[in-house]
Amino acid sequence: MVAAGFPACPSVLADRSLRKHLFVKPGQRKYGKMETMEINNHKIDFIIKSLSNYLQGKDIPLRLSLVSFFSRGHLLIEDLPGLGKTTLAIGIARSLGLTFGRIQCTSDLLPTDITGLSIYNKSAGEFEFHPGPIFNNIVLCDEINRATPKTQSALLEAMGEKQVTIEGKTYKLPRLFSVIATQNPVEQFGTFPLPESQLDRFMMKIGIGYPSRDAEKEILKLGSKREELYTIEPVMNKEEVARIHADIEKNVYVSDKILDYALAIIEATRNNEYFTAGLSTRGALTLISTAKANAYFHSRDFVIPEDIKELSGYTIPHRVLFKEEYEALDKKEIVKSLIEAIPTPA
Amino acid sequence: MNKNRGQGSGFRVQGTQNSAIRIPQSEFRNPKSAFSIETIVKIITYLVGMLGFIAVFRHIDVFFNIAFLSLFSLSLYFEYSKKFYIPRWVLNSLSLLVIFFSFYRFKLSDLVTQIIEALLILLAIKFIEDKKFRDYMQIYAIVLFLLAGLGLLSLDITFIVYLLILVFLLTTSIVLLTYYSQDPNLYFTKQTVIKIVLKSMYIPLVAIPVAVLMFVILPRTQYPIFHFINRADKAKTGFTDNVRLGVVSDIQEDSSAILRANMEKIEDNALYWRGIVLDYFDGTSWKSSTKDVTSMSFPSSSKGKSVRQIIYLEPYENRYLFALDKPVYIFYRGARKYDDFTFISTGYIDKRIRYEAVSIITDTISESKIEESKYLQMPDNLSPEIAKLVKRITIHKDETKNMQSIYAFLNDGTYKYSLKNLPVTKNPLEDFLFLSKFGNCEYFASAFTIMLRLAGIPSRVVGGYKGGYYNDLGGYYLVPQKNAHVWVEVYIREKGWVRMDPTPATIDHFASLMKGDIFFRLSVLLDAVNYYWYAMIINYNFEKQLSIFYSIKSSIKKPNFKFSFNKVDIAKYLVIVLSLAGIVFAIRAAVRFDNSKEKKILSLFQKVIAKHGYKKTKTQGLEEFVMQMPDEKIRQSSYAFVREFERLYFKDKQLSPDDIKKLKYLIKSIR
Repeated sequence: MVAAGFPACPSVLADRSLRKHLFVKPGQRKYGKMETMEINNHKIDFIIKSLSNYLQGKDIPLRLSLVSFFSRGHLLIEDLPGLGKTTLAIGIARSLGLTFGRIQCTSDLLPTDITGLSIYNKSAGEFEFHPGPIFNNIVLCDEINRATPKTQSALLEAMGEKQVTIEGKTYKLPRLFSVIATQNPVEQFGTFPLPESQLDRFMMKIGIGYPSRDAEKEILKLGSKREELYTIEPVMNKEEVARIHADIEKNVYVSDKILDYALAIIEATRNNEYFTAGLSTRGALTLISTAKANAYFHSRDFVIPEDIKELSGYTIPHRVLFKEEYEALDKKEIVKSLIEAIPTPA
Repeated sequence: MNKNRGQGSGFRVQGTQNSAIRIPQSEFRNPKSAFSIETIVKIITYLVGMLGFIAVFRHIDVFFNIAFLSLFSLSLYFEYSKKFYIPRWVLNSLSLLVIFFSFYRFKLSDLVTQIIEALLILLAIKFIEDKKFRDYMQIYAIVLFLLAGLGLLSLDITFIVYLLILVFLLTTSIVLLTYYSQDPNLYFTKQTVIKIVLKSMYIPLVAIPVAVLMFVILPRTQYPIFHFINRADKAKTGFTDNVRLGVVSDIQEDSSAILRANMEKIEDNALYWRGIVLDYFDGTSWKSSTKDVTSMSFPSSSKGKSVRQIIYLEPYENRYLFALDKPVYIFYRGARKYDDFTFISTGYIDKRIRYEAVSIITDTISESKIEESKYLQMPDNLSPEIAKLVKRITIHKDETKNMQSIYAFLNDGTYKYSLKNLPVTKNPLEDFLFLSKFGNCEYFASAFTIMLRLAGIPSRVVGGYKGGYYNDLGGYYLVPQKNAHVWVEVYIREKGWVRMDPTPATIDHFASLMKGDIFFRLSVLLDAVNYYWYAMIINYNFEKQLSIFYSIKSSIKKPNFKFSFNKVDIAKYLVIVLSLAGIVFAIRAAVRFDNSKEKKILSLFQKVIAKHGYKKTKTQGLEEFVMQMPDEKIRQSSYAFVREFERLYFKDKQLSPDDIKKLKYLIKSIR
C-alpha cells in the first residue's frame, strides 16, 4: 500500500535484479583503489533473501527495518493487523541471533508489565527483580496506541535512555536494543494515539502493505510459515551485529556536500507553507545516520544524495507537523514534492 | 506565497529565521523583494576599486595593470562562487612581499609611480580576501591613497571628477557599512536603498565646501596653525655673519636643513649658495664692513646661465637671504640688495620663508673699479712670518700667477681639512699655516685671503653654503646646515671678482650625503613630503589658490573640453579592453580547471548522455537519474561511470590526473 507506492523511493530499491548485475561484490572492484572499508553486507543481503521466504513480497519493509535497526533506531510500523508485522520482527531477531521480546499493548497494561518488577521472595527474604520483556535485543510492541499514555511514556523513555529505573534502581538495557512498535491506523476507538513529540523518537515509520497477488497466492498455497520462523538458523551473532553497527558509524564517509544537501532539506521542512514545524535536530541526525546505514547496504562507504532521498518518505513525515488544512493530504507526497525541489550536489 | 511566508514566520514554533526580534520586520528580511546589504556594499566596493584602477592605470607599468586586473577578476570569481579559496595568511604574506619588493626597487626619481603600483597590488590582494568590515575600510583607504598619488602625477580636471565620484561612493558605502557591521543579513527594499544613498549624499555636500573654505583660509593665517611643530627651538650651528677663527676646536655637524631650493638640476661644482661677503679681518674674525644698497640689476656684460629658484629658507635668526651664486634678483618683501650681491631681509628670519630668486651661474662678477683699500685691509698684529711666506711664494710679476701659486701652496696636500682639534689660539692663522696645518674652510679661506692681500691682490671672503642634495622627487635642492661654507673672491683687474675655493676638494662630507642607505633614502622621502607640505599648503599664496580655481573653472567652461578620441587612442583603449576580456577568460578557464574538475567531468558526462536523449534535472541524484534509463546498455555503462565518479566526489577526494583519465574513459564507453 503506502510503502510500496512511495515513488521517491527510486528504482534502486525496487529493481533488485538490476543491482545484482551492477553491484560489485567486495574484493572484486574493477575500478580504482580499494576502499579502506571492506563492505561486509552480503550477510545482510542473505538475511533479506532468506526472510523473503517467510514474508513474500515484503522486501522493502524488511530492508527498511534493517536500515532502521543498523542505524541504532527504533521502528514504528503503521498498518492493519494481519499483514506480517510480527513475523517481520521475529524474523529479524532470529536471523540476527538476537533475543526477542513481545509486548501486547492493552489499555490495562502497566509500566511494570514492560519494565519488569521486584517481587518478594519468601525463601530468600528479599525482593527479587524480575526483568520485563523490554530486556531483550528486539522488542516488538504490538498496537502501541492501545496502551495508556503512562505506559507509552515508560516505554518511550526506555527507548530514549536505553535504561529503566524501577524502585529507585537503574537497570541498563542490552547494548543492542531496538523497539519495533506497531499501531493500527484505522481503529481509533479506545486508543491513545502517540503524540507527535513521541513520534520523533522513532527513527522511521513504515507501512507493510498488502502482498502482491502472486505472493498472496503463494501464502495461501503453503499456509503460514510462522512456526518455521522460530527454527531458522541465525545468520549473524551479536558480536557481528555490533561490528557492523560500528562500521556504519565510523567508516561510512559523509561529505560536506551531503551535509549541505541534508541541511537544505531540513531548511525546506522548516520553511514552507505546509508545515507548522519542521525537522528537529534529532530528525536531522536521523537523516544522516539512516543515510549512512543505507549507503552501507548499498555496498558503499560514502553517502550519496539518493541515500537520503529514498529514505525521506520514512524518516520525515512523522516528524513534521502539518497545518490543519493539509492534514488530509498524503503527507509523503508533500514531503516528496519538497525534496524534489532541492538540487542535488551532483 | 511570499506573503504567506512573511506572515507565517511570526508564529512559527521552531524558529525559521535566526533572530526572533526581527521577525515582524518582514520587509527587511524577505530575500525575494529586497537587496541584501552585503551585495550592495560589495557592488559599491568593487566600483570603488575599479575607479581607483581606472584613475591610475595610464600612469603605471603594464605589468601592474595586468596583475591588478587578473587578481581583481579572480576576486570577482571568488565572490561569484562565494568561496574564498586562498587563506588569509597567504594573502598577508603576499602583501608583505609586495611591500618588500617595492622597497627593493625603490628609486627616487619615480617614487610616486612605484608607490601607486605597490598600492594597486595591495588593493587587488585585499579584494581576494573574504572581506570583513575592516577590509572594506582598508580598501577605501588604499583607493584614497591611489587617488592622492594620481594628484601628484597629474592634476588635471579628471582628477577632480574621480575624486568627486569617489567621495560620493565612499560616503554611501560607509553609511551602508555601519548597517552591515550591525547585521550582515539585513535586507533593504529599493526605496530604502535610494533613501540611504540620498541621505548620505548630504555628508559630502556639506563637507566639500567646508574643506574648500579651509583650503583657502588655512595658509592665509599669519602664524600657521601648526607653527609650533616647526618652531626653531635652538640656535643652529652653520652660517654666521662673522667668521671667527681659533675659538672652538671641534665643530659639530648639523644635518638639519637650512634651505630647500626648487629649481632645475645643475652641475655640482656650481652649487655655491651666496649669503654674506666679509671684508674686514681683525686677526681672529671676519666682519662685513658697511656697504651700499644697489638696484636689483646685473651688469649686462656678465654671461652665464640664468637660473630661477624658489627657495624655502628655514628660520635661522639672521637676515641674509641665500641664493645661488651670483644672485641677481630676490623677490621678497622688503629685501635689499647690496653691491656685493648679497641680500638682506628687513627683519630676522624667525619663521620659514619662501622667496624667488634669479641667479646667473658664473664664476666672475665683472666690476671695473673697486675700493681697493677696503679689500687690502690687514689686521694690525699680523705675524711677519706670514708676510715672509707670501714673499717667498709670490715670485711672479703677474697677479694671476701669484694668486695661482698661493692657491697651489694651500692645496699641495700639506694642509688638510678637518673639523676636529682646530687650534684654539690668539693667532689662529699663524698656527694654521705653520703648526697644526689643518683646519676647516674658514682657515683655508682666511689664509688665502690674507696671503692674497699681502701680495697686493684685493680679495674678500664669501659665506654661504656649498653643495646640496637634489631631491628628484620634489625637484629641489636640500641644503643642510653642515654644508655651511666660506670661499674667496679675488679681484683680478681685467676680469673682476673671481670665485676661488681654497678649501681642499677632498671634503667628501658633502658627497657622503648623496649616497645612502635605506634610512637615508627614507629621510629623503620624508623630506620631500615635508617640502610638499610647505610648498602646497603652508606657503601657498592666495593668488596661486585663486589661479587654480580659475584654471579649473576655465577648463570646465572651455567648450572644446572633451576626451580626445583620435584613432590611436581608440586603438589603445580597444587593445586594453580586449586584453581585459582575454585575461578574464583565461582566468576563468584556469580557475575552472583547478577548482571544479568534478564539475567539468560531470558536464562532459551530461553532454554525452544528452546525445542519447537523457537529461538530468538539477534535483535528481546521479544514480536515480541513471537507474530510470530504459536502455539497459546505456544504463549499465552510465552506472559504471556514476559509481566511480561518486566514489571520488562524495568522499571529497582530489581528482588525480589518473582519475580524470579513467572517468573520461568511462564516459567515452557509454553507448
